[in-house]
Amino acid sequence: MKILIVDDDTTNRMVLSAYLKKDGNSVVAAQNGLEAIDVFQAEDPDLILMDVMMPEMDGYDATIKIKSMITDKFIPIIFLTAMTDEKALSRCVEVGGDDFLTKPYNRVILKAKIDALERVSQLYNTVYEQKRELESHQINEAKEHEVARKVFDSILNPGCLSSDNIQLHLSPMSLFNGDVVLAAAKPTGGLHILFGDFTGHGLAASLGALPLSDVFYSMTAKGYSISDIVREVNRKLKLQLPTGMFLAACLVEIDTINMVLKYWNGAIPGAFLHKGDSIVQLKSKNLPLGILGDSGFSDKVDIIEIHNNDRVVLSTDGIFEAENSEGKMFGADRFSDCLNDNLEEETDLFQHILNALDEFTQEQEQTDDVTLGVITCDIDYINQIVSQKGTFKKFVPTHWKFDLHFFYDAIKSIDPVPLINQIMSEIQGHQVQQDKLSMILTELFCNSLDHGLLGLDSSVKSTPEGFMQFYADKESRLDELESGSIFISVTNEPHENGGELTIVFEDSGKGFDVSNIKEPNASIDENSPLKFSGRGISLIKNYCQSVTYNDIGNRIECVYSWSNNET
Amino acid sequence: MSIDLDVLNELKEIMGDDFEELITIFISDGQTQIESLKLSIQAANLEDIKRIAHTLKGSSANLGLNDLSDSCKVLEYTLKEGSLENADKLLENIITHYNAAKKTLDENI
Repeated sequence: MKILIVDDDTTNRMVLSAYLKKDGNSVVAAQNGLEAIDVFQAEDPDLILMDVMMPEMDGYDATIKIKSMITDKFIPIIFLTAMTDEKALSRCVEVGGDDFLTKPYNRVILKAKIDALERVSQLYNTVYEQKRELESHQINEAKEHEVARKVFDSILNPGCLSSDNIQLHLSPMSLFNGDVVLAAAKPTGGLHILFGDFTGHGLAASLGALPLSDVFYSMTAKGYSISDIVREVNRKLKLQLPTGMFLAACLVEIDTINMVLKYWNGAIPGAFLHKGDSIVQLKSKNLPLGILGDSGFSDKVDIIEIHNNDRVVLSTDGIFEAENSEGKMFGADRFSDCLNDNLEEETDLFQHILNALDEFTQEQEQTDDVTLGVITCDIDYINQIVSQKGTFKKFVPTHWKFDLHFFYDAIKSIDPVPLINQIMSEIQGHQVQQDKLSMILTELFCNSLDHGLLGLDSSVKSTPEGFMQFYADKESRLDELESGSIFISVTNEPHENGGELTIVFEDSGKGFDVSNIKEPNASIDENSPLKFSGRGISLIKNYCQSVTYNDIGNRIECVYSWSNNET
Repeated sequence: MSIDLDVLNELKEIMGDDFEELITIFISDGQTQIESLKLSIQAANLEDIKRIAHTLKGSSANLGLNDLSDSCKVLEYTLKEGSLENADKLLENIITHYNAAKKTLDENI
């Protein structure tokens, strides 16, 4: 150890120094308190032996100064004293001394005291080191959280959470409790809201929010329904989240056109519709998102009629679990009492719930874990958000036409149906209902390919064996195909709320006897022996305004009407 | 035992060549301190007398010079009572023990 001796008497310093050196310590010395401070700073000793009465600055003042300079480790100060009066000794402790040594010095006692303090000092320094490490971890974590929060904020907030009709209590660190709230205006009017609660805590619980918000915002902007969105979110979370991590979520659509609330709830207990004179719970009928595979997943939404200024109340379970000083939880009953409490129009429901919670928890600062949202179905306001937003491409029905021509080799590798869908969504958004249109296009393409280009006979499909044979033939003939083409043309004739699509498929095949198909019920009769074939045409006829063939039967033209008013 | 030779011998053993210097410094510092005490007593400077007596008490104790240390202690404590009455007499006592100590130290180098 390096020991600093502070004593104004030379012989004292010499005697002490001799003793200390004998025990293997190195020694530095100062003659008074003032000098001691300088030597302390220059030499960084491990222990100090401090005389009390000295000129310039006495041992008390020097000790106060030195102790105040030590921040990051324990440097013991032993007072050297010939004094025996209690007042002087207690003063030594007051100023920060750690022990006394009385003159005359006894070598054995001196060594014992130094050894003891060295052990304390090592222990202290170990603890201090650990404390510092812990603190630096905490600081790092806080920094990382801050960075993460900023990143997440910018990703999660392109929506309309700040709209006046949305009241939200959300702790800045809510993300790290796993809570997430998203809201976005639909391009066709109305509002999508997602209230979610990821399992777990900390940064891990927040990571799922990234794919979630990505899907939610991009699909909402493209005009998808909450059914489509919830299915896609489930699929993505199931794929991307680790086992055991999932998202309890309630998706709500406020449909201002049809004046209904559509919702899908997976394990969010605190979801209600406050209709002024009555309260409807938006019951959870599903497992949280990210558990079920796509085939077992239900995207069925429930629908409730709404009136202007009904309020949607959404809360994660943090509010139920908020505790008061006696350890009692706020609970679902108090929450629901709160909703029933005031049915007067002018009372602010949101503030009323928070007040009740504050009153219950008293001084307990529990609101950090509480995420609560009240969304007022102010129809005029919501419609206004959409037009204000302006960020969505406004799709109006327009005049357009595109032609596609696929030759034999392209047909082997390209499915034109999704391609056509994509082109149309680029031009017209998702206003054209693609599920029906996809079925029509698929049938038209199959007919052109199977009968026109490959010359297959549908009638063999009337028996199960023939059905199998048909597809085997199709595969081999397609493989051997070395000429021919299919021409596709889609034209839109717009009208006020939609348009009329004229879809033409023309193949290079020989055609067929059109007179057959022109028989009114020839292919629609489900009881005919031909029930494995001809379904396609009946389906097309069901959905389309008109279906016509040319005389040689290699060109079909369908007219399909669409409307952008949602059902 | 007025002078603890064991203490001196231990120091001699530990310090080796430095021991002689220690003794020399002690004798010279002691002489200076006694002169200072005389002047302070004449000037009736209680604080200085106490401080010097205290220092000499400590350093002499460290060398095992018990009589000298004790005589300093008496002076220090008398002054703490606030009395200069016997200071001259007590100083003479210190000087007597100092001289005896000096003689012993000279013999022991």
